[in-house]
Amino acid sequence: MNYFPEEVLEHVFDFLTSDRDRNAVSLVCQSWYRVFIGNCYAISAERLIARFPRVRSLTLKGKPHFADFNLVPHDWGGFVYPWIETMAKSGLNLEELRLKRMVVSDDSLELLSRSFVNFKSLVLVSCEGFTTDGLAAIASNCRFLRELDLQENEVEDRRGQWLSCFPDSCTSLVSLNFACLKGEVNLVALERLVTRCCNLRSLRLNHAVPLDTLQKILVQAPHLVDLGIGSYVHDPDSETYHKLKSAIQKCTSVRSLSGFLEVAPRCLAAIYQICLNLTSLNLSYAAGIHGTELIKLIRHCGRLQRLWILDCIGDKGLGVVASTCKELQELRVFPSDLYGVGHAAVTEEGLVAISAGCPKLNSLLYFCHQMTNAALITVAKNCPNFTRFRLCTLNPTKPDPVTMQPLDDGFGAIVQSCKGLRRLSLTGLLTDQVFLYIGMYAEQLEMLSVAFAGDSDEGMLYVLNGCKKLKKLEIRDSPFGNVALLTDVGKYETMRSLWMSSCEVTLEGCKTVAKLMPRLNVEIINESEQVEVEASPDDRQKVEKMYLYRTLVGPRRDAPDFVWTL
Amino acid sequence: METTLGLLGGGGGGGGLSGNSANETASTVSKAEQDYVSMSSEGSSYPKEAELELGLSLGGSGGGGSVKSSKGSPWGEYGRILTAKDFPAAGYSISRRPNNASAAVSGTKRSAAESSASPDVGSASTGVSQVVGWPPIRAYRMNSLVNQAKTPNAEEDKVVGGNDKSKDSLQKKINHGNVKNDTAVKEKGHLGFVKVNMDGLPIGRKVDLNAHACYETLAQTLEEMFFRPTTTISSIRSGGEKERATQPSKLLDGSSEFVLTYEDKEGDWMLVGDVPWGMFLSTVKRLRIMRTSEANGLAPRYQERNERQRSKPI
Repeated sequence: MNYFPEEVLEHVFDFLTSDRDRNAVSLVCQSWYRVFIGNCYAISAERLIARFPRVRSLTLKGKPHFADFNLVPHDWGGFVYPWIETMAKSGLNLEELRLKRMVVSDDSLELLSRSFVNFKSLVLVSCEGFTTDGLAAIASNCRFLRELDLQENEVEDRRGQWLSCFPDSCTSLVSLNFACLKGEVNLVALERLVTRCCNLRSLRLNHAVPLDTLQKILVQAPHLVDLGIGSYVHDPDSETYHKLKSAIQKCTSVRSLSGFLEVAPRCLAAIYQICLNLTSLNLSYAAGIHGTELIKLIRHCGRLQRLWILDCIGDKGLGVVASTCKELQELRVFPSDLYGVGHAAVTEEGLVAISAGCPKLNSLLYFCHQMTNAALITVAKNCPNFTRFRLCTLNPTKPDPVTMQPLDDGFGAIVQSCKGLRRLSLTGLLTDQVFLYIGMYAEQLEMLSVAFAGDSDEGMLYVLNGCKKLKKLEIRDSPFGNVALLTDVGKYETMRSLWMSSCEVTLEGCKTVAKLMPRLNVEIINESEQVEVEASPDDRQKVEKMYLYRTLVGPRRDAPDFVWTL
Repeated sequence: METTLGLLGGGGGGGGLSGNSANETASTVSKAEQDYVSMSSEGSSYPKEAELELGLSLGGSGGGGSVKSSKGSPWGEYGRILTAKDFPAAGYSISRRPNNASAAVSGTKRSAAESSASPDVGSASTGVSQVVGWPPIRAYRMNSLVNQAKTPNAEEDKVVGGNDKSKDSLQKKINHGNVKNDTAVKEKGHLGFVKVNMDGLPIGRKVDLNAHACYETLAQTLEEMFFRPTTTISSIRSGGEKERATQPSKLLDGSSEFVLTYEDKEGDWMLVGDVPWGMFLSTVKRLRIMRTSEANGLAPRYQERNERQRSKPI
């Protein structure tokens, strides 16, 4: 029996909640229908189909994670078209496609919409390359479409009428999310669509959908479970607003709320009733809600399990969260002010308050102005259940402001206490010591993100040696070089990928890895105009960006000029 | 160190390469530390090492010469094109000394740092957003954050969909005289970051047009991005931009070897500066810093026109 890399075997069962269990599943079963591929270059579409001819649901991830932060040049790769083309030619009965960080052209969407009769679900996260014309093709041609979910994609608006392209015969929509679209939509077409899709349970609108349309939609779809509000601006004394209030009262199923891309705070009272039952609230794009209005809103949300918020909530606001949301499991606090020195929006105090009030917390993303070791130690004690812990101090090398020490001990406490930790991102002033702790204690760690940290190769070596389950390691601007890179090259075949940018590795080091490990693709992104392809670059030169990953199919053929596969 | 091969069946892969002696590690470390430390040690923005010299000289005196560390000096002397080599730490240089109380964060090429001795630099978040990929926020969210800061008050009028004929009070509030404004504002909200390419550089940048209210500040920002930045981080803040608007921009006045052009909605390449700022915003798709020599004789006319423009506010 052949083996496949874990990329393909992950998520082999339907609702496998624990990624750890997937390791136990090494059977390759031909009747397999849901496949997850964590790196689209680890395997080819042809081989996938040969192995899983009955694939119905495919998840593909393309660019490295740091591409989300503009560290990867635009045409690096991750094109979905070849996948769709191959699947179409092979007569696959594809029903679901989930893509993350991939380049999706209008042509691919068109081909997708025409090739798979039973296509039901398209989820695009952090993708780019398509316009509303592509969406129009999906709307027009996918007769049984159930789900169209666009999350944080860069979509060019062609001012077409893509929403109107859903034919009158389309009544199957269950989930529609177009919150990330920047352009207008035909509001009448939207209302009609909602009216005829009586199974609609999830609807996320973009900023161009005004409150009066929202009101009409809610009247037609009171069974919504997940609602994303576009524009929430109105005169609170108006008839429309009163109608909205009564429509909302009938929406007793809403458990997840998001959006408020534009908001008139005085109108928020209408949604307090919904808040009572909410388990998920995403106000991270609702810059218009802050201060007392925000706190008032939160006080109604006693059942929240997931909260995404902007840091203008402040430490005090987080205190309110801590005393209100006792069921909280996931918290994300995003920065709202990148330019000014400003008011310190949230600090370690807010986090400590949360940890004290919300013992079920297991997932954190926290952008803050400062953090202390004492706080992290307290958090580690209060919340031993973290599986995902991502902390970002806006100044990436800031020490503990009280003791002026590095944050090594704080993060050390986190990894020691949270035995189930699978994902970790660290910032602040950090030495090799923190990596020693990570290597020693973070036994379940699968993904680690490092920026501006460490002192020497030892740091990286601690991690590579210690974290047996490491899958993805991404490092930027840290002094790790060839010694760390080359000490255990076999390790990289146990991992999905390694990213190192602005570190100390040289071309020679990368070439060595490539030579020793033929089943890895070692790619250098070369953005300097000085080192040209013809000229032979100096091996001692430091490599700006290196991305290596295991693969079954050798160097990729779609690499642009500035990517060298060694 | 074991060399595990995971689920890939078959023979062993390469064995691990054990590192060299501690000596090499030590020297690597010290060099790395030196690189990082030297960036901030002298209280100057840029060390004088040769590695920072390169590229074309772009007019003015001493272009291509060694880097000077003065801040705020007038634009003139630094005609250099920076390439990736100038950004060893993604344009951000961090002091690595753990016992350095200030944990100074000094910008390098992107913008001149405050003196690293400043005790507050460590706690300030000024200029953090100027480092590539920092803070680590998804680009979509970053764009949206910036746009939201620029869009008008939520309570203001909005143009509702054309089909809406409701007699709702909202309709009454719509000031038809402002329709054009709203559209322009909406388009503006739509724009956010646009690409900027410069002749001779294969890799482009992106600039946020919504962070500017006039051509001068835009040109200043581009000059900082592509040429030697000499201004302080604090000037990136919106307040500072206004202050600096009075400094003449080399890119706009025709005295540089380069001119600033843009591609409009119709796909034509146009010289930046001819039309009112708002109109420019509604039609610009992307920018290009073009060699004057390629601008086909536009420069003399432009220079003349700009003499006039400089005397009146844009």
